[in-house]
Amino acid sequence: MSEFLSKLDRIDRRWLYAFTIILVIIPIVSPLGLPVKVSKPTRDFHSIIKDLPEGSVVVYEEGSISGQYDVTRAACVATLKLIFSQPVKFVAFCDSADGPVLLKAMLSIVNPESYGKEYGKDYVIFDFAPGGETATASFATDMRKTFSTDHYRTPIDEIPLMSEINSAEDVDLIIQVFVGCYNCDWVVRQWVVPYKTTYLGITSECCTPMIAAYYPASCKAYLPGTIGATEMEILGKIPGEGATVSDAKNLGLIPMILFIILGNIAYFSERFGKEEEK
Amino acid sequence: MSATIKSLIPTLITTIVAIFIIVEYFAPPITILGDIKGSFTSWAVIIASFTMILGALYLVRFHGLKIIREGLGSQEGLYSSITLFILVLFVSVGLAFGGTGTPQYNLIYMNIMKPIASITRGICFFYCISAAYRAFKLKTWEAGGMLVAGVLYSLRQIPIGPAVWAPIEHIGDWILTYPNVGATRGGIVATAFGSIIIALRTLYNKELSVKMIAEAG
Amino acid sequence: MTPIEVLMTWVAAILTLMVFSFLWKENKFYRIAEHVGVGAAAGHGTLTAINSIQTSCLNPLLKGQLLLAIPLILGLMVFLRLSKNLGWASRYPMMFMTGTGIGVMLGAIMEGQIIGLLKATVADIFVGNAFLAVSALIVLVGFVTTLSYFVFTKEHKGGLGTSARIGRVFIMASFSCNWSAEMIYYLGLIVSAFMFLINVWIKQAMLGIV
Repeated sequence: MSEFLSKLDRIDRRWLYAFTIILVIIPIVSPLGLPVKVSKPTRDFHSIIKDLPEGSVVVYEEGSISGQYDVTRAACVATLKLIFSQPVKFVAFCDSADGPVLLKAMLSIVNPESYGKEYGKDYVIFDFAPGGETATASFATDMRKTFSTDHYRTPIDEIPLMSEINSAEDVDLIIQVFVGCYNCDWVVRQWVVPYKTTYLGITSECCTPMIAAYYPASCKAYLPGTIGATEMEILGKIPGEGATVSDAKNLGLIPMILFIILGNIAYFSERFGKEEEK
Repeated sequence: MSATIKSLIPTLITTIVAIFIIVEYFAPPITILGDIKGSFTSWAVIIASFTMILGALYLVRFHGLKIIREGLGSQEGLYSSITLFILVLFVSVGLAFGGTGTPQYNLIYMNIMKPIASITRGICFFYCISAAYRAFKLKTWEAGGMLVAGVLYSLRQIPIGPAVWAPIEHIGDWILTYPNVGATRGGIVATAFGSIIIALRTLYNKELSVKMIAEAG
Repeated sequence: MTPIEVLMTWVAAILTLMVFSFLWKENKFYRIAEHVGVGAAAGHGTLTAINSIQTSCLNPLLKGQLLLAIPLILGLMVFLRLSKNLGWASRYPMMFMTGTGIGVMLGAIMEGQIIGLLKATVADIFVGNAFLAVSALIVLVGFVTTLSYFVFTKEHKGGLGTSARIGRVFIMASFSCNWSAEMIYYLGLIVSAFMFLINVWIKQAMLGIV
């Protein structure tokens, strides 16, 4: 046994990578189709959007980056589909440089026009405002000073939707897509505390432990990456790719757990072996 | 005079702007205060755009000097020329076709930048796999607790965990919602106190790191 | 798929495989992909910045909002950082941004991140369910002990030492969540990459299966 474990210690790690890649590919080629249980934050997320009164104003702060787009896309698409199925007004702006491109790509998947929405009357998108928290604060204080035109270069005063919206006081809900662990602090400080705006978060799995600290006091609900997307798709009966990606992750963690167990068996057998010698 | 222009006046600008915005937050809603705060924050957004271009200029200068020093025929010179070529390609396509919202720009963005950005992060997973055998050992009770909690929480996040053993769902959620939240909230508060102190030191021109960065310029 | 989409899919697949080649060993293909990524990110950032300056500053300025000349001048002063003699002038816009950042942060930080979190932690204890109340007490203990761990002005001895040691256990619990969350996140990226390679590149672009 100890010989086997010491051989394992010397194994070329490229064999480990190959083993991992095979386990990742198997559920992609042949999905396992395991059930997913919906967690409380996702239920809250879904019900808050579903219960929005008619005419509510929803601000969507897009903070996705290209490096995390694959992980947050499914959750964002499921959320956008749910929002556009509601009789609410939608205003989006970006706090990351990649935001405008990624938001447009997601909107092309969602296709708001298929929900009867008209650009300029029911939804509007703005570009990227650099500066991090300062940009969030600027948009919350005065949208017209932050952006003079929308993404399509239409002056903001010529957009019918924006005729009665200029600051966070006119907004009922803010949904922030964030990928930096401390970006949720920006919305808490600039929207929730001064204006008491309801705040929902969408993030990748790596930032979930951070947003969990603000739940449910400041952040009323959140979606944690692809598992959150899967749960939203189940709750809202919205077909999407979240379930596919979640299912494909099933076997990928096995090498990690297997090697942790083997490593500890090797460690303890070596340790007890030395103690016996003494 | 030199110290006044180079150091004192910038610090005064910081202090006046910061104090004004803080006063606006605590004062009753007065239109003029809100307007000035809105102007200050929107101006900061505009200045931030210029700093992004400054970053690109630093990159161009770095790689340009490398090409001049090493020559285009060398390996490093080739890599630097690739960087500059792609930079110019992205800016040119964007400017030529009307910004980042066009199908042409979307094509190069989604097929050049996105895959590189995501896979560069993703390959860390493989290094964690190879580290798992050597590094994650139960040497102390604390390390053991950390490892067990981590494994249970990670199994909660993929469907196979609750499918194999149903209680993992509740255990994983409990670990996230209670011990993790306790520590994270403590960390957030500690960070908040630290931020307040550094901010006040910056306003008093006592914060060394800010002074050093300013003097390096 | 249109021919240009097929071509760009091949480009994406080749770049993906070039980055994956790093798992074999450091090599030229990975270095090329790395430099392409850096150039792309810088180019994209430059483009969005130019767009932002045009829409937020230049266009309104030309339409009569003359006050925007101030951020325009401050923004141009940023480039003086490249000069050895005039680099000090770039402090003006930088310190303006610093002041704005401090101002927007300091106003709400007490209520949002200190008092707000403390209120939420204490309020959760007073619920009807005993298990949840005990769990909320654990959060409070974690909160206080983690905070005590970050007190560096006093030596961790006696009561503070015990509290800091308990806080360390909670910090490790938080690290365990963060570590496993990172693993799942990286796994998600790898899975998405392979899904692209199999479903889009091989099936659609190579074999023409829709």
